[in-house]
Amino acid sequence: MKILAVDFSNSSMKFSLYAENNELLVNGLFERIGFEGSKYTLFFNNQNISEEIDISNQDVAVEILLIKLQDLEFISSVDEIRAVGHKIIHGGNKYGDSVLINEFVISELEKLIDYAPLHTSASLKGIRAFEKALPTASMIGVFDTGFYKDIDEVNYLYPVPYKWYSDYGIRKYGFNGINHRSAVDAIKKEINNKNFKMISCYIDKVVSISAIDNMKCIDTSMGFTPLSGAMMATRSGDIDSSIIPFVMEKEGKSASEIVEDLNKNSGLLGLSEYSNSIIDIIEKAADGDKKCLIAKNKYIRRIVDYIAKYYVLLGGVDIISFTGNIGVNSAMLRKEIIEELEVLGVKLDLDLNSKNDGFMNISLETSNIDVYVVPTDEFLSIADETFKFIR
Amino acid sequence: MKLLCVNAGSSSLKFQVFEMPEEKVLISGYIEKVGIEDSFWNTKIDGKKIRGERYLKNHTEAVKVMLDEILKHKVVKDLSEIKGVGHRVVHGGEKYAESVLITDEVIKSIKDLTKLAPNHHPGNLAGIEAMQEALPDVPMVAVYDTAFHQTMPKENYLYPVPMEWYEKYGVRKYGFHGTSHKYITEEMKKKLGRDDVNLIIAHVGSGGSLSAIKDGKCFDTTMGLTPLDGIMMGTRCGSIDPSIIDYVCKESGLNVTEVTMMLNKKSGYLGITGHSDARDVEAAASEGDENAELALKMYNNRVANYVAQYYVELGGKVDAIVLTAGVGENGIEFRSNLINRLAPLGLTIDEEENSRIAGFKDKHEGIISGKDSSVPIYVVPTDEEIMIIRDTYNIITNK
Repeated sequence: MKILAVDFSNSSMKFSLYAENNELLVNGLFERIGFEGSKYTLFFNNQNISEEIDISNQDVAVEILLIKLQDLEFISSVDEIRAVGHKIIHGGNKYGDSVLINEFVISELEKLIDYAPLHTSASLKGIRAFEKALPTASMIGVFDTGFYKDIDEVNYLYPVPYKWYSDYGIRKYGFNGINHRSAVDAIKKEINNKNFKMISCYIDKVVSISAIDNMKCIDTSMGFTPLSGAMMATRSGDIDSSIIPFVMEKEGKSASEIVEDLNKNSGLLGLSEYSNSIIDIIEKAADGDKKCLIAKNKYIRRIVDYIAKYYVLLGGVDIISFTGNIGVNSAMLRKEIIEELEVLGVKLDLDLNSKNDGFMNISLETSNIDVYVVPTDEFLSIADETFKFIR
Repeated sequence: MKLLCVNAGSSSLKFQVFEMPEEKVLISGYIEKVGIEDSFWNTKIDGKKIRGERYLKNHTEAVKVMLDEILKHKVVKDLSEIKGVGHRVVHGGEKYAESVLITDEVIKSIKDLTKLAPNHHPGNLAGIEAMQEALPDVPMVAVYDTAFHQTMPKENYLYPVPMEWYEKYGVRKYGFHGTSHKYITEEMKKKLGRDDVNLIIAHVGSGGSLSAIKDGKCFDTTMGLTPLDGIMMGTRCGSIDPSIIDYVCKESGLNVTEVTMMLNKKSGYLGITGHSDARDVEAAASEGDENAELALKMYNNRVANYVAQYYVELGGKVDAIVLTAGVGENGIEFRSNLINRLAPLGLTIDEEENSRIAGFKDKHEGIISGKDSSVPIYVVPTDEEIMIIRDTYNIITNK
């Protein structure tokens, strides 16, 4: 028995194939689906295969994937794949826990398309494609917003007309939940205890920060959409909303175009006018580039702001964790963040911090708060959830 | 020397005449519903309150009523005794980091900045123009709400948006209520006996903003390009996911201006509870209104968030936390809930002392933190008018 974990976005499909013991057999990426120059890449046994090939839609991508998996003998027949776990960005008010997908679920997801138009419609096409190709396999939906289902209305409501919540579903949903949950699970396993207060920092191209009490998320930095919260590679995070109408008028653009600028041309890229990578920017700032220094300081400040407010919201904190590509790999960034938190009694072990050696506690024994580096694997988490439905 | 302080809103006009440099208030008053039916005014002189009412078509008529009151109560024998007028102006942009003598150029800049203070500048301008008409030879000074915040470092005032939005259009954090934050900072310098004070000031009223003061200067503040940003307020949302504007436009069919207007006038306490005044929300909550209770908690969280942020931003080196303005000065329950929420930072409250201090009680200011509190917490009533008049006096006498 094998399962697939998949993530469809606008024009791509990422996948991982797992055997029953959660062993990763092969993973890969189908890119530019529906565009010229489409190709796929498979990674396995320290090698990779890549081919430029016409991939006109999700159906074709799935078809090619299943043929390749058989050609390379990862599966003897498609029947071996018992389930496909789909990452779904937005479960709205409807879905928190993972769900077995049937026609009813699909019709509910269709109603949620507006919340994350590109992602959800791509996921729906992906679900249909797999249903067609694997008619006996179970389709499981794993929600990136699901981790936030326990947030109290005090924290998820915005102080806007209440009707916007009841009529349009305007509230904080939170994102990157699969990663945050995976970090919390890893900590629970390590300290063998559920009763801890934790601030989980997911720092990748996107950044989100969650406050967790006794395994439950009580607040998170992203909001109605993934635009808000901390500053990110190309997203602004929280700003004065009045900037939208103000710049619209100056540039003669629509609100959607400005929101697009806030998503794609802001954050580190917007301020530094140099790079969307905090790693590049830290380097350039050290060389004395002023815009990069401002971008770096602001980026760190916004993360520190969230840690400070969640420290108070949680009533003190036991653990701060760093996850996501940058959170796990940039010792420099972690050091600078923790230095800003000295007043809370957090102390980093600089040697351990610089090791970059997977899961580890990198704080000094005298630190009031334990600081962990927690590599997470989103596809493995999706696989875990998926296996639960078929075991 | 007699100086007049004018704070003209879109449909209101507040005024005070001071004897300077003694800082003695000779008369004060406010005129409401200018340009709306049922205009009325209240004047206070020698502890007596006098009310008048008559339809006032515009600010010119309101100014006439004000000057009549000043003459009628013999504050001055002749208007020529008024040697200067200080005007509150909300937005000075980047150009005005200090109060300034009003010239044609200043008036033009106030007009140009109307987009950034649409609720306030039309009233501010109407007030200035009406006063210039009435007292053409008297020097007038503009005192800006944004000026005090001009000392913020660049990394605190820039938004993480395309840099050219700042360079071309001036998109940045300006901050507001600066006159109040400045007054409190000056008061705290006196109380603490030094100039290099580090403070967290919470100016919380129907509007509200917090600021972090480092070495006696503004280091960060919660309001932004406009007064919409920061904490939740009586009718304003404060900081929200900016994508909400676009989404609500599409769902509701309203345009961006209308949705932004709703964020300014129909949100905050009003959006959640139907009441915009904190006192009404508290009353509803005590009668078991669940949304009112919810709104109070939301509000409390948002204020606490910024105190926590600024506490860390100042590296914990905070000489005092100061609560001021309507809710800060009078909200006994608000203060208690806020400080209890901040216990993880080592803040404690002296509940008894807290319950003694309010505008409607004998004691109007004092220290409400417990003896073991990591930071002392003060209640200090703000006085924007005196700041306006001090600046006006300084500018006029140095001329």
